[in-house]
Amino acid sequence: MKKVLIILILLFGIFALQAQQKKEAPIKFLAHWIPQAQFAGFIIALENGIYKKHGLDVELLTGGPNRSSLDWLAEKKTDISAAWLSSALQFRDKNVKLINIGQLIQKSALMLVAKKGRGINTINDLNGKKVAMWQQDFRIQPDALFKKYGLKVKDYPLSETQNIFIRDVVDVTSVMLYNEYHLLRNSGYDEKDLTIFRFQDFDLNFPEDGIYVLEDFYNKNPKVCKDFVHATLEGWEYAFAHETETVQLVMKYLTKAKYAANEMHQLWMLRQMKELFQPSAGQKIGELRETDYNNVVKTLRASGNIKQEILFNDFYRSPNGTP
Amino acid sequence: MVRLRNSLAIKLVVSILLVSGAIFLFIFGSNFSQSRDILLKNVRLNAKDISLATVNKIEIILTNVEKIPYTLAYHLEHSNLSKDELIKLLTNVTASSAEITGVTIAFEPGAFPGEKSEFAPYVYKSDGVLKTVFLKPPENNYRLKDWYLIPKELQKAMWSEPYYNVDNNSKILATFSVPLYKIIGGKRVCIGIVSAEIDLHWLEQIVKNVKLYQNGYAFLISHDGTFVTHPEKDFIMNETIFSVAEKYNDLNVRKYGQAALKGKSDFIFLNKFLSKKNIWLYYVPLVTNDWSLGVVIPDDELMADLNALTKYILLYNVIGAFLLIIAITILANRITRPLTKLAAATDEIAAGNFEVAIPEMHSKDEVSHLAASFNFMKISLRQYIDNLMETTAAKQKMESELKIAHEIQMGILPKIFPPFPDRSEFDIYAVIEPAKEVGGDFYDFFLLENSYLYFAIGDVSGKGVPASLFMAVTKTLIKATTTIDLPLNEIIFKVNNDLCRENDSSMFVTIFFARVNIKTGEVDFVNAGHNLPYLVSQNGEIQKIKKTGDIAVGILNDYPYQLGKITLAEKDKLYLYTDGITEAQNIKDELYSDKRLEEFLKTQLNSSAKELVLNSVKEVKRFSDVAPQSDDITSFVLNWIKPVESD
Repeated sequence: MKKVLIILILLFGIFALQAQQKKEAPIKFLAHWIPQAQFAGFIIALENGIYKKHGLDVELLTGGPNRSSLDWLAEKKTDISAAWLSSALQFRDKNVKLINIGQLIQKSALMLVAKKGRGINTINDLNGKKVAMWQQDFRIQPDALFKKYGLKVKDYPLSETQNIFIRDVVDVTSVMLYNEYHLLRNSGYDEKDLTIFRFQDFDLNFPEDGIYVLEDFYNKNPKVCKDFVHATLEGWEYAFAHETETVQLVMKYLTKAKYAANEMHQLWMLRQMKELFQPSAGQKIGELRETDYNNVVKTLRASGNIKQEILFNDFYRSPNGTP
Repeated sequence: MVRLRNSLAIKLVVSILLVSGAIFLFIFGSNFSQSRDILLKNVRLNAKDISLATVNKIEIILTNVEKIPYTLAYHLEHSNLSKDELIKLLTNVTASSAEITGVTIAFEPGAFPGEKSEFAPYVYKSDGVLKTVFLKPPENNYRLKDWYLIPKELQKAMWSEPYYNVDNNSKILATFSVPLYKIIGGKRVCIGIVSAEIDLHWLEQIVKNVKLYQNGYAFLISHDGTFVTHPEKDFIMNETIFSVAEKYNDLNVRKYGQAALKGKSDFIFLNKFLSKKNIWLYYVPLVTNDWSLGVVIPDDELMADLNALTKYILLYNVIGAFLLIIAITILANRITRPLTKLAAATDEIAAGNFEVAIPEMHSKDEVSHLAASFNFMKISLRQYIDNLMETTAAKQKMESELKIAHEIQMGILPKIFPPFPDRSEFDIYAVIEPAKEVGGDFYDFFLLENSYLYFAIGDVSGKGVPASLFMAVTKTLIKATTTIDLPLNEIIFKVNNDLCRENDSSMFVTIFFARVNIKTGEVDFVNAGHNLPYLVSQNGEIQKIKKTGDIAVGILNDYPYQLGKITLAEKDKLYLYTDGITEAQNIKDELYSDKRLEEFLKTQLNSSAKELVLNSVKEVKRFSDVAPQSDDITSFVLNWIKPVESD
């Protein structure tokens, strides 16, 4: 009897050890900005157990300024990152072998907003005006726009606030539709006081937020990558359908990360995200359209932001395609 | 019974209540609105005072802080400090000021001698210890920061928006930045920013101390509308006045925010502010940093006293209205109850019951006067009706007596025609159509000794019973006096004297009295003032029997009447009548007249006595048509057919 018992204990010990070995480190995800409604789908997917349901153990790293999601991806400090298409292309151009596994925002949320009071009503009115722009990737489109229309503007650096615009240093500013545009409205600007320039209206549409992994990570974990995108999209679907719950959850994340925030702003953001996610005809949500991709590549090559030829099929793995 | 809504009491209550209610509402409304205006005016002044005092307190502190960067900038502009001297200066300044938590002097790249790139020493207090760091990109790209960029671009000293301390989020800071200039190549160029940073915790304390009424409070919004202080902690730094307006979908709050950020000041009413109470808001700008202070006074608290007063006034008025209703009802009942009784009594009287008692009134008002009048009316009415009944009875009696008298009168006239059916020599017919009353016409005829036919027609002056009696007497006297051997004028003479005697009523009678000798046709007659009879001859001759010039009987005693004579030819007719024929009137007040009578008689040459009499009456009636008959119509015809040989 004793022998049998010892064998049983030993066997149990082996199984337990195996089980422990089987448990892998969670998949890390880093968004390219602070945890706001811009990333509600990820937060919902995690908090509501959607990742778990898809067999994924996900850890959301807190994003924010001074924490480049693509740098972290390149340095393998994260497994999966969210980033703009234009940013990712530039990394790829610098031989960081990252690939897009899902495209969330299909239309540029980045836009220029001008004061009507300064006589700006059409694109040509921008000539000679003072324009505040964020640096690097955020000014690729504005620069391309000014070049396209032969506009000379006086550019100003834009920081985290729009005070430069509010304090009348500049006449035009850059905003994200889902974020700063609403902040301007909630600083007292009425829609009628502003002229809006959206880049898709000038054939400069850049799909923005997408999901990126390194190629070798994808090759090792194709199912994980696809499951992650599908689970995230499911999270988004839930978020769009449950605004209040989502906004409250996002508020929790923001408060925890010590960011000033209010519900109305997050709600606005969530609603705008829904619009920005809408795919073109024949395209599925979460997919990157080749024509959009080519348009971005063309603009980036023209501006010299990328030099290599990066093929769509090398760069993109559809979440709905076969591995 | 009177329907309820028609009742005087209800009408009085309704109309008095309506009028007094309208008056009350007007007074109450204007009083309320004036009280409210006064109250609001005072509150506005009060809120203004408190707001300005608060703003003043804040601005004194802010202005004190402003002095430091200004002084530093001035000093730096006019001196050339080394790096160590600069840091020493910053350290001293930061240490010496209680309010200031840190001071930065940030230069444009290469602007500070000896530094090729960005140079920005920042001295700050950390848990009471002074620390020095050098802000540098990429960790701190200060040249992009609002506190640096905006004053530099605008070339104007200014306060930043409030922000959280990077190290300790519980602290809200604000920075006052002053552009730093240097003369380079004769030009004044901005080479950096001197800024002082302060912890805003004292601000919260000052604003918190603003109390108006029980739950009034104040809050502060920054230049972009962000709440810097607010009793609702979550609002601070998270919400702007516009995000709150958006949350509660309140356009008025948004409008207020826009006005406030434009540096305006006002006292406004906001309905359900933040979905809670109605409030009054006084807002005033902080000129120093373009922020805005708002002082909130809950409307219900502001209006509490006025509302309480209003409630009491309303309550008193409701009570007053009830008292008014009761008083009016009592008064109305006091008026209407006797009126109702009076009405019931009147109904009884109208139904003929004069025995009903008119209710007695003890009051001395119009109603009792009315009741007294009613009573008097009842009595008068009763007397009148009694009188009327008596009169009616008397009249009825008299009428029946008159009727009898008339019948008697008619009864004494010969009425059977032909009266002498066995006599073929003559024919007689007569008729009296009496007027309404008993009249005084008469006719008579009689035969004496078979050869003399006496006949008479008369008309007594006046009408009625006296006339009829006088006629009866006259007729009787004539017949009684007549003897065959007495001439007719003698007979009338006697009758006249008899009638004149004891004729106190001075009545008289016209008489045509005649006697025809049936055998010869000779006629004796006396005409005592009577209408002249007509002699209608067979040959168509119509002639009046001439006057004897005598007066009516009963006027003058011993009057000598004359005797007239005519002789009738064969088939001559004597037509006798009273003035009822010739003086008959039609509706045009025309008389029938002798002329019309004569014309008529000409058409009757071949008529029998009866035909002539009846036709003449018919003719007169036709003439009169609907005009009333005013006098007796009497017509008498003697038709002397032929003389008969006597034995």
